Parts: sequence; C-alpha cells; structure tokens
Amino acid sequence: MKLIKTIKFSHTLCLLSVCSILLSTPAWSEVAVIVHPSVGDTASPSDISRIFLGKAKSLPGGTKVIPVNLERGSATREEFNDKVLGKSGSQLKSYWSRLVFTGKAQPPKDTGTDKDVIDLIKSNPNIIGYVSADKVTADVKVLATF
Amino acid sequence: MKKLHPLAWRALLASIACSSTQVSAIEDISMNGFASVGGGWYSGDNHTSTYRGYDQEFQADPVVKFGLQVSAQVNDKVSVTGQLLAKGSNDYNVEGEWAYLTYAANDDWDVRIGRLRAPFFPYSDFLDVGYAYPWITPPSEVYRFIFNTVEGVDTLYRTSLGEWDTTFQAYYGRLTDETSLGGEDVEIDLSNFTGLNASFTRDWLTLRVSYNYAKVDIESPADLAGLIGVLDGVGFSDEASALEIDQESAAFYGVAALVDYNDWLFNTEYTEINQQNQSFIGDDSAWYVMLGKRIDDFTFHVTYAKQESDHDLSFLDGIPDGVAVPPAGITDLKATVIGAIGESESSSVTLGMRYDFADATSFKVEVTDRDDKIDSDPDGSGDGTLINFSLDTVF
Repeated sequence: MKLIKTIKFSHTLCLLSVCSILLSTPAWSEVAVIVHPSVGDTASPSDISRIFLGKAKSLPGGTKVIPVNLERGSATREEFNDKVLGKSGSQLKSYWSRLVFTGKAQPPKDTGTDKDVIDLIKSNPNIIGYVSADKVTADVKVLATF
Repeated sequence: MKKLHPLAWRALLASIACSSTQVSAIEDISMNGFASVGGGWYSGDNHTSTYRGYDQEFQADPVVKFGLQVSAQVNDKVSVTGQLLAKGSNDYNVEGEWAYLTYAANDDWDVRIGRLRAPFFPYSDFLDVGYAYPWITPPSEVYRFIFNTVEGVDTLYRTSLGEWDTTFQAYYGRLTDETSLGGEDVEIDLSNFTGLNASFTRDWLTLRVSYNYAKVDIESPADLAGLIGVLDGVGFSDEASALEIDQESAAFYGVAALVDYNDWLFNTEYTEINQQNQSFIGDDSAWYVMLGKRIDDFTFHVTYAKQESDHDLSFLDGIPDGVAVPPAGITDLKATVIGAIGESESSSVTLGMRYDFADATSFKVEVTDRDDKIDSDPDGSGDGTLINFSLDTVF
C-alpha cells in the first residue's frame, strides 16, 4: 500500500524508491513528513523544503508551523536532507551558519527519536516533522512520503 | 521526551505564536558560536611587504577568531541578539560585533535597532564565520573595507516574487570607531551612513545589488599627516586640505551573482567606490570570479580577484614639478605626494580546498599568488605568494 501511494506521489520519487528496493533497502525506510491530524493543509515537496530551510513559516493553507529535526546522526534525517532538501549535512550546516550568525533564523531543533517527534506533534498542531515511514502512528497525519 | 531537554521543550513552545502555554519572558534563549584557527606565510619579492595581514614569518593572527552569540525571544514580536567576537587581527580584544533588538512586525518584515553589520557584500553578514563560505577569507581585493559595522536602524522585508525568494534591506545610521589603516590606528566617522540592497534567490541562483552612501571622516595616518603639514608649510594649503578625508561624500555599490548548481559553484561580484572629491583615498573598482566544485566532502576552488584604483590626481595640478623641501628631505614634492597616495592595481589568483572532515568542522588550505603594481614602483614590489590554512567550526 505504502509503495503504491509513493508511486502516485511523484515519478521521480517513484524511481528513487524502486532504486532503493533494487538496492535491497527495505521500502519502509521511506521518510514521512508529519503534522497534527487537525491540519487540513496539503504541501508540495518544495513547500516542505522551504519550511525546513527557514524560507517559509506556514503551510500553503496558512497554518503556522515550526519544523523539528530528528536527532543528529539519524539515518532518516540524512535521507530527508538528501531527498527533500537536496543538501548534505555539512552543506546544511554551512547554510544555517549564514542565517544563525546574522540573527535571521534558527535551524529546526533536534528533537530526538521518531517517537519523540510523533509525541511532540500529536500534542501540538503547529509543529511539522518527519519520521521513518514505518514508525508513523494514527496520532499524526502524513503530509507526504519521500 | 527523553531526548528533548526540558528547556528546549519550553523554548519550542514559547516560539509558537499561537501556543496557549504560559511561559515567562526570555525563555527562548539560543546560544551559538563559531571559531577559526590556522595561520600562514606571505613570501613577498620585497621582504617587508605584507598581504592580508601576513608577512614572511608564520603568523596565526589573521585567521584566529572566536565568536559567541546569544539570542533571546522576549515576546512574540521582540527578540534581542548579541555577538561577542575576539579576533587575532584585533589583538584578541573582545568586541560586541552585533548588538541589536529585532521587532518582527509580521512574518516577513523585521525592524532592527542597534549595532549591525554594514551590508556591503553578499558575505558581509557572516564575514567572520569561516565555516559559512569556501575560502579562508573572501578575496581582500574586493572585501577591502576597514570597517564592517553600522550603528542605527535597518529593516528587512522578505517576500516571494513568483519563483524568486527576495529580501530587501534598507538601513540608516552612523559609525564612529577606531580602526587599523596601514598598520596604524585611526579614528573614523561615517555619518548619514545609509544604504539599500536586494537579493533574489531561485533554486541554485542568487542575485544581489547593493548601494551604500556616507559622509566620511578618516583621520590621516602619521606619514600622510606629516606630508600634509609640509604642503601647508610651503603654501599649498588647498592641496593639503584636499588630501584629508573630511566630510567626504562617498558611495559604494556592488552587484553579485552566486551559483550553486549540481555541486558546481560560481560566484562573481563587481564593486565600485565613487567619491565626490578625491582625497588620499581615490575612487576604485574591484571584482572577482570564483569557480568551485564539490566532490563528496571536498570543495576545490579557484578565484581571480582584481582591484584597480581610479584616483583622479588633478587636484594636485597646482603643485609644480620639482618643488624641493630640503628640511623634510623631499626633492620633488608632487612626486612624493603621488608616490604616497597614487594609483595602484592589484590582482590575485587563489587555489584552494575545503575539506568537511567532521561534523560542523572544516579544514581549508589555500595558495594565493599576488600581483601588485603601484605608480612609484611599476615593477611590483608587492608581488608575492601567500600560503595559509584554517580550521573552522560552528557550535
């Protein structure tokens, strides 16, 4: 089911996930971008990228959201950086250092494990995060998978 | 919630505008820091020449920097930011590099009051944060100011124009400071210090334009003050006062294009200084081009930078050739003045590498070949080669 949803989502991403299957990476290593179930907005990959790069502060429907990261060193975080933001960890660090030291923005906070992120989001409608797709529970809404 | 520190948790909540959680003021405090260490050697054809703060013996001072920044969200609309910086090039004196209050009128519009960075160049805002750019320092032929700060007010407006993320900034203020000019501490005073800049970013491309203006006073360094005294003494008082930088109207503008496409980097900036009247500092233009390639954790880059002075010396036409002032040891006064301030042209080629070898830490090494021509010595006494390296980190 999950795979079919992804294929519908985007041809490019479909190729990526097929690749990851061929490379025997389990399909459930996908990244799911999640929000509180009450959030009615949809978001394109570019909307999500803009929020996590500090360029936008709300979803296209107008809901204000604050992005949070998984803990440092998490494989899902690296996958998210690569697939959604198109930057390596050090490129992102360099990108944020340009904003942080001018007081213009702070990077998403490191929030812990998949469970920590889900717990945070289910209790707050203004947080957006991402987790390993197989860790998603009914407490949160999946905005997109990558 | 094990991994989320209770403070971080409250901070997160405090930063959410519509959160109903009650938090007391100043709970959202973030602290960030950066540091650079390293050093280098400059071997000039002339053994006494220096470049970018280096001379022929190993020196660390031009690279070493340590900065600490604290930001606090006071309420929904107001935050305060302070940055303390200790630099080797400033004898490790700790200075408040930034200190300002931000009023966020809305998500897209900020007003900041306090001590801010003068936004001449695209890299001005994070000039001291080596980790933020590929070089050890941006090309000194272009990044050539002896001051980086303005005290006053600015406003930042962010918006999307179609596919372009745009930022507009306008500022007004003043700067009174003591800074190093030709190895000497001099007083500077820039009043009516004002400017406008705009940057446009789309995917891999950023374009920026900047215009800046000030009424400038710069204290004459001792050698020049001596020469001005000599001119005054022999009756060339108009020329003497013209040499001084006193309420000089000066404008600076720059255009830049920055590309980061498929791990290829291409940066270019063109800048000009235009003054209403010439003085001991003349008009000039300066530009660079940089091409780089990221390969895994390595970035390789090559940069060509050039500065050309466009110093109109006609204000010295009143001084006849060959005026000797024997008590001052001068055989030709006009030639001596021109030699002290005259035209110059310098360029450099830099080959460099950045290696992001660990989390938030990079190692950089560069070789810069410099070509420097001045009127009094067209053979180029300033030519030489700089080898330097740095370790840069953010935390």
